[in-house]
Amino acid sequence: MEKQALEKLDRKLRSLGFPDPEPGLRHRTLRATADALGHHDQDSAIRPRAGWWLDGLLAAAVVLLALGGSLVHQFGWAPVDPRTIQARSSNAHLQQLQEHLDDMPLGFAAPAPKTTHTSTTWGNTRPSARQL
Amino acid sequence: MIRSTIQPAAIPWRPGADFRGTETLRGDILGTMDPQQRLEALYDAHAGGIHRWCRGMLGRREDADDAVQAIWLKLARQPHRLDHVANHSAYLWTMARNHVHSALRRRALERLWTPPREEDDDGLTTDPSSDISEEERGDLLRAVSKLKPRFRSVVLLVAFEGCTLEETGERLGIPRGTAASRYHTALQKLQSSLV
Repeated sequence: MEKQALEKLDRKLRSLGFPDPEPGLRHRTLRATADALGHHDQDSAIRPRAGWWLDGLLAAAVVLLALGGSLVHQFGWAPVDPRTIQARSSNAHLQQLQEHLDDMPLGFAAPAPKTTHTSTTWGNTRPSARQL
Repeated sequence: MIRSTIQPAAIPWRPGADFRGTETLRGDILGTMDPQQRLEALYDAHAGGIHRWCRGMLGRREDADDAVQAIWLKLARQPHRLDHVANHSAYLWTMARNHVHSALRRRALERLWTPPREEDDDGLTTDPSSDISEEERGDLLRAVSKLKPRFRSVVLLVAFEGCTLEETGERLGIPRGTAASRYHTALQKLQSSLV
Protein backbone atom coordinates (compact mmCIF):
# COMPACT_ATOMS: atom_id res chain seq x y z
CA MET A 1 0.00 0.00 0.00
CA GLU A 2 2.76 2.35 0.99
CA LYS A 3 4.77 1.39 -2.06
CA GLN A 4 1.85 2.23 -4.34
CA ALA A 5 1.46 5.62 -2.65
CA LEU A 6 5.13 6.34 -3.04
CA GLU A 7 5.05 5.34 -6.69
CA LYS A 8 2.11 7.66 -7.27
CA LEU A 9 3.96 10.48 -5.53
CA ASP A 10 7.03 9.70 -7.61
CA ARG A 11 5.00 10.02 -10.82
CA LYS A 12 3.56 13.34 -9.68
CA LEU A 13 6.96 14.70 -8.83
CA ARG A 14 8.31 13.63 -12.18
CA SER A 15 5.68 15.69 -13.93
CA LEU A 16 7.14 18.84 -12.41
CA GLY A 17 10.27 20.71 -13.31
CA PHE A 18 11.91 24.08 -13.52
CA PRO A 19 12.28 25.77 -16.88
CA ASP A 20 15.50 26.56 -18.64
CA PRO A 21 17.26 29.80 -17.76
CA GLU A 22 16.30 32.77 -19.83
CA PRO A 23 18.41 33.28 -22.98
CA GLY A 24 19.69 36.62 -21.69
CA LEU A 25 21.60 34.85 -18.96
CA ARG A 26 23.76 33.10 -21.53
CA HIS A 27 24.58 36.39 -23.20
CA ARG A 28 25.38 38.12 -19.92
CA THR A 29 27.44 35.25 -18.56
CA LEU A 30 29.51 34.70 -21.68
CA ARG A 31 30.11 38.42 -22.09
CA ALA A 32 31.39 38.53 -18.52
CA THR A 33 33.64 35.54 -19.15
CA ALA A 34 34.97 37.16 -22.32
CA ASP A 35 35.78 40.30 -20.34
CA ALA A 36 37.49 38.26 -17.66
CA LEU A 37 39.47 36.31 -20.24
CA GLY A 38 40.43 39.59 -21.94
CA HIS A 39 41.87 40.90 -18.71
CA HIS A 40 43.72 37.65 -18.29
CA ASP A 41 45.13 37.85 -21.82
CA GLN A 42 46.24 41.43 -21.28
CA ASP A 43 48.07 40.43 -18.15
CA SER A 44 49.73 37.50 -19.84
CA ALA A 45 50.64 39.70 -22.82
CA ILE A 46 52.31 42.30 -20.65
CA ARG A 47 54.16 39.93 -18.38
CA PRO A 48 56.53 38.38 -20.96
CA ARG A 49 57.48 41.79 -22.37
CA ALA A 50 58.46 43.14 -18.97
CA GLY A 51 60.18 39.87 -18.17
CA TRP A 52 62.20 40.01 -21.39
CA TRP A 53 63.82 43.29 -20.40
CA LEU A 54 64.48 42.10 -16.91
CA ASP A 55 65.89 38.81 -18.13
CA GLY A 56 68.10 40.65 -20.62
CA LEU A 57 69.49 42.96 -17.99
CA LEU A 58 70.17 40.12 -15.62
CA ALA A 59 71.88 38.07 -18.31
CA ALA A 60 74.09 41.02 -19.32
CA ALA A 61 75.06 41.61 -15.70
CA VAL A 62 75.94 37.96 -15.21
CA VAL A 63 78.05 37.89 -18.38
CA LEU A 64 79.91 41.05 -17.37
CA LEU A 65 80.60 39.72 -13.91
CA ALA A 66 81.85 36.42 -15.26
CA LEU A 67 84.08 38.14 -17.82
CA GLY A 68 85.46 40.54 -15.25
CA GLY A 69 86.09 37.75 -12.80
CA SER A 70 87.98 35.66 -15.32
CA LEU A 71 90.13 38.64 -16.37
CA VAL A 72 90.98 39.51 -12.81
CA HIS A 73 91.80 35.91 -12.10
CA GLN A 74 93.98 35.61 -15.18
CA PHE A 75 95.94 38.86 -14.85
CA GLY A 76 96.26 38.95 -11.14
CA TRP A 77 93.91 41.79 -10.51
CA ALA A 78 92.29 39.92 -7.83
CA PRO A 79 90.99 42.06 -5.04
CA VAL A 80 93.44 42.57 -2.21
CA ASP A 81 92.71 42.23 1.40
CA PRO A 82 92.67 45.69 3.05
CA ARG A 83 95.09 44.49 5.71
CA THR A 84 97.57 43.58 3.00
CA ILE A 85 97.22 47.04 1.50
CA GLN A 86 97.82 48.59 4.88
CA ALA A 87 100.87 46.39 5.48
CA ARG A 88 102.23 47.20 2.06
CA SER A 89 101.77 50.93 2.56
CA SER A 90 103.35 50.87 6.03
CA ASN A 91 106.32 48.90 4.71
CA ALA A 92 106.73 51.39 1.91
CA HIS A 93 106.48 54.23 4.36
CA LEU A 94 109.16 52.69 6.58
CA GLN A 95 111.41 52.07 3.59
CA GLN A 96 110.94 55.65 2.44
CA LEU A 97 111.71 56.89 5.91
CA GLN A 98 114.85 54.77 6.08
CA GLU A 99 116.01 56.13 2.75
CA HIS A 100 115.35 59.60 3.96
CA LEU A 101 117.38 59.00 7.10
CA ASP A 102 120.23 57.52 5.09
CA ASP A 103 120.39 60.64 2.94
CA MET A 104 120.59 62.93 5.90
CA PRO A 105 124.05 64.44 6.94
CA LEU A 106 125.98 62.35 9.36
CA GLY A 107 125.68 63.36 12.95
CA PHE A 108 122.49 65.25 12.52
CA ALA A 109 120.55 62.20 13.11
CA ALA A 110 122.60 61.20 16.12
CA PRO A 111 120.70 60.99 19.31
CA ALA A 112 120.99 63.85 21.73
CA PRO A 113 123.21 63.19 24.77
CA LYS A 114 121.43 62.02 27.83
CA THR A 115 121.14 64.53 30.58
CA THR A 116 121.54 63.72 34.22
CA HIS A 117 119.29 66.54 35.17
CA THR A 118 116.13 65.58 36.83
CA SER A 119 113.51 68.12 36.96
CA THR A 120 110.83 68.40 39.45
CA THR A 121 108.50 69.31 36.67
CA TRP A 122 107.28 66.34 34.79
CA GLY A 123 108.49 66.36 31.24
CA ASN A 124 110.86 69.30 31.58
CA THR A 125 114.05 67.95 30.00
CA ARG A 126 115.68 71.23 29.22
CA PRO A 127 119.44 71.10 30.26
CA SER A 128 120.52 73.33 33.05
CA ALA A 129 122.79 76.31 32.53
CA ARG A 130 125.69 74.50 34.12
CA GLN A 131 125.42 71.64 31.72
CA LEU A 132 125.33 73.97 28.75
CA MET B 1 21.04 -0.49 4.96
CA ILE B 2 19.93 0.62 1.54
CA ARG B 3 16.23 0.38 1.19
CA SER B 4 14.46 -0.53 -1.96
CA THR B 5 13.90 2.38 -4.23
CA ILE B 6 11.65 3.24 -7.05
CA GLN B 7 13.75 3.00 -10.14
CA PRO B 8 13.22 5.89 -12.52
CA ALA B 9 11.63 4.79 -15.72
CA ALA B 10 12.15 6.30 -19.11
CA ILE B 11 11.07 9.92 -18.93
CA PRO B 12 9.18 11.07 -22.00
CA TRP B 13 8.96 14.68 -20.88
CA ARG B 14 11.71 16.93 -19.65
CA PRO B 15 11.68 20.63 -18.91
CA GLY B 16 15.21 21.19 -20.09
CA ALA B 17 16.26 21.00 -23.69
CA ASP B 18 19.83 20.17 -22.72
CA PHE B 19 18.93 17.13 -20.69
CA ARG B 20 21.25 14.27 -21.58
CA GLY B 21 23.69 14.84 -24.32
CA THR B 22 26.26 16.28 -21.96
CA GLU B 23 28.28 13.11 -22.42
CA THR B 24 28.88 14.09 -26.04
CA LEU B 25 31.12 16.93 -24.83
CA ARG B 26 34.40 15.10 -24.75
CA GLY B 27 37.46 16.36 -22.98
CA ASP B 28 39.77 15.96 -25.96
CA ILE B 29 37.49 18.14 -28.07
CA LEU B 30 37.34 20.76 -25.34
CA GLY B 31 41.12 20.76 -25.17
CA THR B 32 41.38 21.97 -28.77
CA MET B 33 39.14 24.99 -28.17
CA ASP B 34 40.24 28.41 -27.05
CA PRO B 35 39.12 29.36 -23.53
CA GLN B 36 36.06 31.36 -24.56
CA GLN B 37 34.83 28.67 -26.95
CA ARG B 38 35.34 26.10 -24.25
CA LEU B 39 33.28 28.11 -21.77
CA GLU B 40 30.51 28.52 -24.35
CA ALA B 41 30.45 24.79 -25.04
CA LEU B 42 30.36 24.00 -21.35
CA TYR B 43 27.58 26.54 -20.85
CA ASP B 44 25.45 25.02 -23.59
CA ALA B 45 25.98 21.53 -22.20
CA HIS B 46 25.64 22.05 -18.46
CA ALA B 47 24.29 25.47 -17.53
CA GLY B 48 20.63 24.54 -17.96
CA GLY B 49 20.73 21.62 -15.57
CA ILE B 50 22.84 23.47 -13.05
CA HIS B 51 20.53 26.48 -13.23
CA ARG B 52 17.40 24.40 -12.66
CA TRP B 53 18.97 22.55 -9.75
CA CYS B 54 20.23 25.77 -8.16
CA ARG B 55 16.78 27.27 -8.59
CA GLY B 56 15.22 24.37 -6.74
CA MET B 57 17.86 24.50 -4.03
CA LEU B 58 17.97 28.26 -3.51
CA GLY B 59 14.33 29.03 -4.26
CA ARG B 60 14.68 32.03 -6.55
CA ARG B 61 15.52 32.41 -10.19
CA GLU B 62 17.83 35.35 -9.48
CA ASP B 63 19.88 33.21 -7.11
CA ALA B 64 20.23 30.54 -9.77
CA ASP B 65 21.33 33.20 -12.27
CA ASP B 66 23.95 34.39 -9.80
CA ALA B 67 25.15 30.84 -9.24
CA VAL B 68 25.64 30.15 -12.94
CA GLN B 69 27.38 33.46 -13.50
CA ALA B 70 29.64 32.94 -10.51
CA ILE B 71 30.70 29.49 -11.68
CA TRP B 72 31.49 30.56 -15.23
CA LEU B 73 33.26 33.71 -14.09
CA LYS B 74 35.42 31.66 -11.77
CA LEU B 75 36.37 29.47 -14.71
CA ALA B 76 37.10 32.50 -16.88
CA ARG B 77 39.35 34.11 -14.29
CA GLN B 78 41.35 30.92 -13.97
CA PRO B 79 41.08 29.39 -17.45
CA HIS B 80 43.75 26.79 -16.76
CA ARG B 81 41.62 25.11 -14.09
CA LEU B 82 40.00 22.98 -16.78
CA ASP B 83 43.22 21.90 -18.47
CA HIS B 84 43.65 18.73 -16.49
CA VAL B 85 40.00 17.95 -15.73
CA ALA B 86 38.91 14.55 -16.99
CA ASN B 87 35.22 14.79 -16.14
CA HIS B 88 33.97 18.28 -16.83
CA SER B 89 30.41 17.48 -15.79
CA ALA B 90 31.49 16.30 -12.36
CA TYR B 91 33.79 19.29 -12.00
CA LEU B 92 31.06 21.79 -12.81
CA TRP B 93 28.55 20.08 -10.57
CA THR B 94 31.03 20.14 -7.72
CA MET B 95 31.42 23.87 -8.23
CA ALA B 96 27.63 24.23 -8.25
CA ARG B 97 27.29 22.21 -5.05
CA ASN B 98 29.93 24.29 -3.33
CA HIS B 99 28.25 27.49 -4.44
CA VAL B 100 24.84 26.35 -3.22
CA HIS B 101 26.19 25.16 0.10
CA SER B 102 28.00 28.46 0.60
CA ALA B 103 24.87 30.40 -0.27
CA LEU B 104 22.73 28.35 2.05
CA ARG B 105 25.21 28.71 4.84
CA ARG B 106 25.77 32.39 4.27
CA ARG B 107 22.17 33.43 4.17
CA ALA B 108 20.81 30.74 6.44
CA LEU B 109 18.35 29.78 3.75
CA GLU B 110 18.16 26.31 5.18
CA ARG B 111 15.92 27.67 7.88
CA LEU B 112 14.52 30.73 6.17
CA TRP B 113 13.62 29.22 2.81
CA THR B 114 10.06 30.08 2.00
CA PRO B 115 8.17 28.92 -1.05
CA PRO B 116 7.00 31.54 -3.50
CA ARG B 117 3.79 33.33 -2.59
CA GLU B 118 0.58 32.20 -4.17
CA GLU B 119 0.30 35.26 -6.37
CA ASP B 120 3.89 34.90 -7.60
CA ASP B 121 4.91 32.65 -10.40
CA ASP B 122 6.65 29.71 -8.76
CA GLY B 123 8.51 29.03 -11.97
CA LEU B 124 7.53 25.39 -12.10
CA THR B 125 6.59 23.86 -15.40
CA THR B 126 4.28 20.91 -15.56
CA ASP B 127 4.03 18.04 -17.92
CA PRO B 128 1.02 18.92 -20.10
CA SER B 129 -0.11 15.31 -20.19
CA SER B 130 -0.29 14.99 -16.41
CA ASP B 131 -3.56 15.40 -14.55
CA ILE B 132 -1.99 17.23 -11.61
CA SER B 133 -4.03 20.19 -10.41
CA GLU B 134 -2.72 23.65 -9.58
CA GLU B 135 -3.48 23.17 -5.91
CA GLU B 136 -1.70 19.86 -5.83
CA ARG B 137 1.28 21.36 -7.58
CA GLY B 138 1.55 24.10 -4.98
CA ASP B 139 1.32 21.58 -2.17
CA LEU B 140 4.05 19.48 -3.74
CA LEU B 141 6.35 22.45 -4.18
CA ARG B 142 5.85 23.57 -0.60
CA ALA B 143 6.51 20.07 0.66
CA VAL B 144 9.67 19.78 -1.42
CA SER B 145 10.85 23.17 -0.23
CA LYS B 146 10.57 22.06 3.38
CA LEU B 147 12.84 19.07 2.86
CA LYS B 148 16.36 19.32 4.17
CA PRO B 149 18.88 20.25 1.48
CA ARG B 150 20.42 16.79 1.27
CA PHE B 151 17.01 15.29 0.47
CA ARG B 152 15.81 18.20 -1.66
CA SER B 153 18.90 18.04 -3.85
CA VAL B 154 18.22 14.38 -4.64
CA VAL B 155 14.52 14.97 -5.37
CA LEU B 156 15.35 17.84 -7.70
CA LEU B 157 17.72 15.68 -9.72
CA VAL B 158 15.89 12.35 -9.68
CA ALA B 159 12.31 13.58 -10.04
CA PHE B 160 12.54 17.04 -11.57
CA GLU B 161 15.50 16.39 -13.85
CA GLY B 162 14.95 12.70 -14.47
CA CYS B 163 18.52 11.75 -13.68
CA THR B 164 19.39 8.15 -12.96
CA LEU B 165 20.67 7.31 -9.53
CA GLU B 166 24.19 7.00 -10.94
CA GLU B 167 23.98 10.44 -12.50
CA THR B 168 22.53 11.86 -9.30
CA GLY B 169 25.31 10.34 -7.25
CA GLU B 170 27.94 11.66 -9.64
CA ARG B 171 26.52 15.18 -9.62
CA LEU B 172 26.13 15.31 -5.86
CA GLY B 173 29.36 13.51 -5.08
CA ILE B 174 27.68 10.68 -3.21
CA PRO B 175 27.47 6.93 -3.88
CA ARG B 176 24.57 5.56 -5.87
CA GLY B 177 23.21 3.73 -2.81
CA THR B 178 23.19 6.92 -0.79
CA ALA B 179 21.28 8.71 -3.54
CA ALA B 180 18.75 5.86 -3.65
CA SER B 181 18.34 5.84 0.09
CA ARG B 182 17.90 9.60 0.27
CA TYR B 183 15.33 9.61 -2.52
CA HIS B 184 13.31 6.90 -0.83
CA THR B 185 13.45 8.74 2.50
CA ALA B 186 12.47 11.98 0.78
CA LEU B 187 9.43 10.32 -0.76
CA GLN B 188 8.37 9.04 2.64
CA LYS B 189 8.79 12.48 4.18
CA LEU B 190 6.83 14.09 1.37
CA GLN B 191 4.09 11.50 1.65
CA SER B 192 3.72 12.06 5.37
CA SER B 193 3.72 15.85 4.98
CA LEU B 194 1.10 15.79 2.22
CA VAL B 195 -1.38 13.58 4.08
